Amino acid sequence: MNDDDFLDVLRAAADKFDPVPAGVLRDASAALALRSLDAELAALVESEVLVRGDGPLSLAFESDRVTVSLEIIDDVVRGFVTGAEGEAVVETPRSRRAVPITDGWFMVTEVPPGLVRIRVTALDGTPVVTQWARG
Amino acid sequence: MDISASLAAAARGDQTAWDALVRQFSGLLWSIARAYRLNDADAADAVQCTWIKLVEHLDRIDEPERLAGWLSTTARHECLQLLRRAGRLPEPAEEIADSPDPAPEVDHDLLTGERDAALWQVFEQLPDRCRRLLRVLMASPPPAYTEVALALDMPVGSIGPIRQRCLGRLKVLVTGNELLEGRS
Repeated sequence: MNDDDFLDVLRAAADKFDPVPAGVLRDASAALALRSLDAELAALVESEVLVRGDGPLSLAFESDRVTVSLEIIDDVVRGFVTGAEGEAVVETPRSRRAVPITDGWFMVTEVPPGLVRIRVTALDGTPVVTQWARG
Repeated sequence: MDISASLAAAARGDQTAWDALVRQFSGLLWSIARAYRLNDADAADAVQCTWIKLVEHLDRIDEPERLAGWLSTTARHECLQLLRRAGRLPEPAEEIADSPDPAPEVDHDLLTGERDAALWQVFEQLPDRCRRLLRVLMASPPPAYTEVALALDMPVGSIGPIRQRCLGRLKVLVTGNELLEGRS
């Protein structure tokens, strides 16, 4: 059996014993709905793990109108926003929670692990969303 | 529909076009996550994050023909980020010694029933570098070497020779396995 044939045999074994789970395909399909066409994107400009391992994670995002700084400790996301007011919406691929912005600050608890992004409304009414970042 | 057309349609919100991309590349992304030895939950996380990043970049993919490469690179970053946060980066790649020459013959019909399972177990015992490369090469549909290189951050030119050595090693392990070697 040559190498290509052997690899085909292995591929068949992988398909059988370690196939892509159906849930992974469902989530991938659903990801398209997370597009945010309407919003200005605030790009990640700084990312820092303050302590190695499970320590706090510090992130900074900027768009033309808005800056968002995040500190993520376990399931708590604390943020400071400039150029926006009203509510901050903390989104994960499966959830969204709106919290008030008070003097620029907001905080959300019990945020599931994985990706997170923040949606705010700039002072001139423009919706702004940060890039996804891993919490 | 080719990849450029699928990407453009997906960027307009066409779910069917998006699902075609998902079908075409999920096997590769899953294989990459498994190549880095991520468990079920982390592998699912890495794959989903890769797709979400693509959604974020849908209208900003400069060279649609390189989508597979872009996905491979993104998946690698996601995997390494998960491993780093868990404090377990992959071991530095060890040298792969040549297998005794010539590599033993493997029976064509070894893949039935429990032999199939035995082969999978033997595969999992391969040294990390071999297991990692072969696991990506085992993706369905078969990936191009350029994508494999990006997924594992290794030179394209090294894939062929390492593939050969690693398959040789696996054949040696298979030969030492009663269940796989047995000819009834």
